[in-house]
Amino acid sequence: MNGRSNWVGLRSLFLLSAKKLLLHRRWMVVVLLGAMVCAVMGYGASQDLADMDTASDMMDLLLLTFILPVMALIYGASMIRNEIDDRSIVQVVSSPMDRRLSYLGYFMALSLVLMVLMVIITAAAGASFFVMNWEDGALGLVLGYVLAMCVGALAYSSLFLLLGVVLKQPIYLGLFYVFIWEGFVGSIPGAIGDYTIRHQLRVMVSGLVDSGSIANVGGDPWSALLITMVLTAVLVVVGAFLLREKEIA
Amino acid sequence: MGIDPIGYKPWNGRRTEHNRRFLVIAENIVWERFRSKPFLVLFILGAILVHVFPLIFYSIMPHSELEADLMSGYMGDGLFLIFNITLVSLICADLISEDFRSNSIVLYLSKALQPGRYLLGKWLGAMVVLCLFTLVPPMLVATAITATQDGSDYLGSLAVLGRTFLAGAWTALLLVPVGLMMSALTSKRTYAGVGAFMFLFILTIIAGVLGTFSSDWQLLSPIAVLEHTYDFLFGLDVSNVNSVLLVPMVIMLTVPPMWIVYQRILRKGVGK
Amino acid sequence: MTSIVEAMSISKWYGKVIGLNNFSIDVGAGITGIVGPNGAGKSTFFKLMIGNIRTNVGQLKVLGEDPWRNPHQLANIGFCPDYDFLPGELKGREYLRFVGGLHGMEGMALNDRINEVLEVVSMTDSADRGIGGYSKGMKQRMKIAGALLHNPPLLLLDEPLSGTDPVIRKEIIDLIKDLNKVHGHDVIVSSHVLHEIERMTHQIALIYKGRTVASGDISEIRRLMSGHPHNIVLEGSGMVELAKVLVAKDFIVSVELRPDRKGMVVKVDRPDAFFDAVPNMVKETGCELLRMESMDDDLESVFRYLVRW
Repeated sequence: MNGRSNWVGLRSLFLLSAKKLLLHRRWMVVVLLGAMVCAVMGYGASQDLADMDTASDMMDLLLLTFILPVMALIYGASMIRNEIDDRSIVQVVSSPMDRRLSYLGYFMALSLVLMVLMVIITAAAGASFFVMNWEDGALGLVLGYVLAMCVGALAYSSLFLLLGVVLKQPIYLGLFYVFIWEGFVGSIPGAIGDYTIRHQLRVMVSGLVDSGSIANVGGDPWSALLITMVLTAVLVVVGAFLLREKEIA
Repeated sequence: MGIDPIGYKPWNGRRTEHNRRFLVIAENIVWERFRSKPFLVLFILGAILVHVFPLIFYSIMPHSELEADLMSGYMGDGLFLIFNITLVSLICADLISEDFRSNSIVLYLSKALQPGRYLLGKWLGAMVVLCLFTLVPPMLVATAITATQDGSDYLGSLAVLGRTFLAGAWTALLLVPVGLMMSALTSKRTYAGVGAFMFLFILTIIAGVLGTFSSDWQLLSPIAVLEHTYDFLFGLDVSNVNSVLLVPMVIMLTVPPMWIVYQRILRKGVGK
Repeated sequence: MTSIVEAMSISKWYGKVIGLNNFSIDVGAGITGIVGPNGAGKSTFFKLMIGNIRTNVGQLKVLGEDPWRNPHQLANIGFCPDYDFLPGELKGREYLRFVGGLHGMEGMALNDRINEVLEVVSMTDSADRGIGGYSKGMKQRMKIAGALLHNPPLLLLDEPLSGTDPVIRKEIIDLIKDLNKVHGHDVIVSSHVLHEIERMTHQIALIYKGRTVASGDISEIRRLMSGHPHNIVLEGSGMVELAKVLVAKDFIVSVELRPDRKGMVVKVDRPDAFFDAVPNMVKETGCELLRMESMDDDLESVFRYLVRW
């Protein structure tokens, strides 16, 4: 296939995959989660002494620590894995498009959908808090988290999409990573805590916001961004290579 | 030339009583779980991380008897509870969802198996598997501590041993309904597993967030509910716990989920 | 003969399960039937040809190239697998638009091609309905449409008739024949139902337990099986006298008279000699021959004979 044909193929795969992700019944879960986050943020805002630090801490815990990786896991781990299991991937792998390019199409669809959803949820969460408690710097805080969500969506998508290609049950390892590795190991003092996507995202946010405990996280935000982007690129390349080598029986 | 008979003979052997057929389902679940390598790996990993070190450490440390607050603290440890939640998600993920996906629920219900018995079999199977993690190892730890105690109050230690048994069984009793509910709400086991995990964790996180405003919100967390009920089971001080909120939370985590599962089985059984 | 597909001693295994075992075949142009029972290795062969899996041993060439890790070649192949993979949430036309996009097709040219292909598979009226509501036959036709869309020279159809009713089966068989005769595609089609393949083509490859048992024209294969006695049915009057004469002939293996004495089944080891001798024997005995038919010129007998050995 020439460049134009590859572009058309990539666009077709991207559009259909994104449509499948958005229109799947999972949107009910997303709406529920979003509503829950907004409700909690709104309740927090209604309390005495609720301030920017409170908002930042709540967004750190609810969005960065929980919603982002879990949604990436739900969407990412099952995206290619479901197609391999129900064999609908045959139409993609029996097209003249290189499988590596197909993988890129899946990744683009997944990360864009995740970014859009997380941006909406983050903005809604911020609005729920600050509508009752507007302070200077509120917009900056929300935008800082929105940016972190976008970068985090790329990183987590790359990881869980790869797991979906490699493992028959990617959810086990995914849950282990999110809750055991990032939850427990990531909170151990010392260098080992840095080897998580969440830590890098928190370092990035610390450079963008100055409220909440996240502002005290040490590290260079630009280095964290670079590390996350490099990790994402490596995981995407590895995933693409593995899909090309994978036998689809 | 007539039709050549294919050697069909009617079954003349013993048939299990109707009332005991749920045991077949439960037994099948137990064997299936332990044939799954990922599950075995996680189970063994959890057992090593959560139970082996306390068993060795508490047995070696000088102690006069098995103490209730020791066992309550050990069973209320974060890692133990995290593993419990992970395991219940994995154990229950495909118990009902897989039957829905493959439509074998119709097969079960057409074998003169009542929906209630089917659910009982599934519940019992999940309970047995989870109790092998929540009940058996703590009992072993408690037994090891009792066996190595310096003091002579074995009766007191045995009482704590009994409470440990109750706490282990109670852990499974509290967590399994949510796992089954998630399994009954979807036909994809991946979603069921993640759903159960998320349901339990999201309550914990919300409780953590809202708990900074009022300690009563802590009871939203199933982990906190377990910790406080352990205090109750081990006969420890529960005066700081709002029991007016604790009891409804316990009910909320057990009764509605099982009711939802039952209703879903009924609906699927009639083809909806 | 220009080879479309050349397999040279290929083996493929999945763990301990052998899919293909020292399998060799040379497929030429036209319609070729791959015939074998369930588990013979037909689908494995198709997956190898489309490059979804790779051989463990041996060499495979499809249209002159190795299909593994060769996505460019897939522009020349249209694949219709035996399983249902169509996305139920899409409409037929949307699905074809997606498949066309994957092949780099777009715009008005794609729309025109979609209309053409829908016409070929007789799905124009149902194209704007959801695939989830299609019958089995409609889904099969939509799968074939997807395989045809990019106008590949070679079509691989894995069990296209499975699960279809007799009416749809006839339509699909006629479609497959037209795809070759009218539209010029080379087709490799698999089935485990022998008489269906016979209706489509006489060029077959018999596959059993991962091995090629025989390949070529059905009659040619039959003719080469000279060691296998032919069964011939004779019906008419005077069969008893004819039987007495037949048992004395050296090319007769056995004669089995029907209870009503109006017919018999004769087993011969040299059918040519038998057919040459029949007119004289009929004249000699004065019998009236109303029917004479070979029971073994069909694919089923060929296959049954071959897999017993």
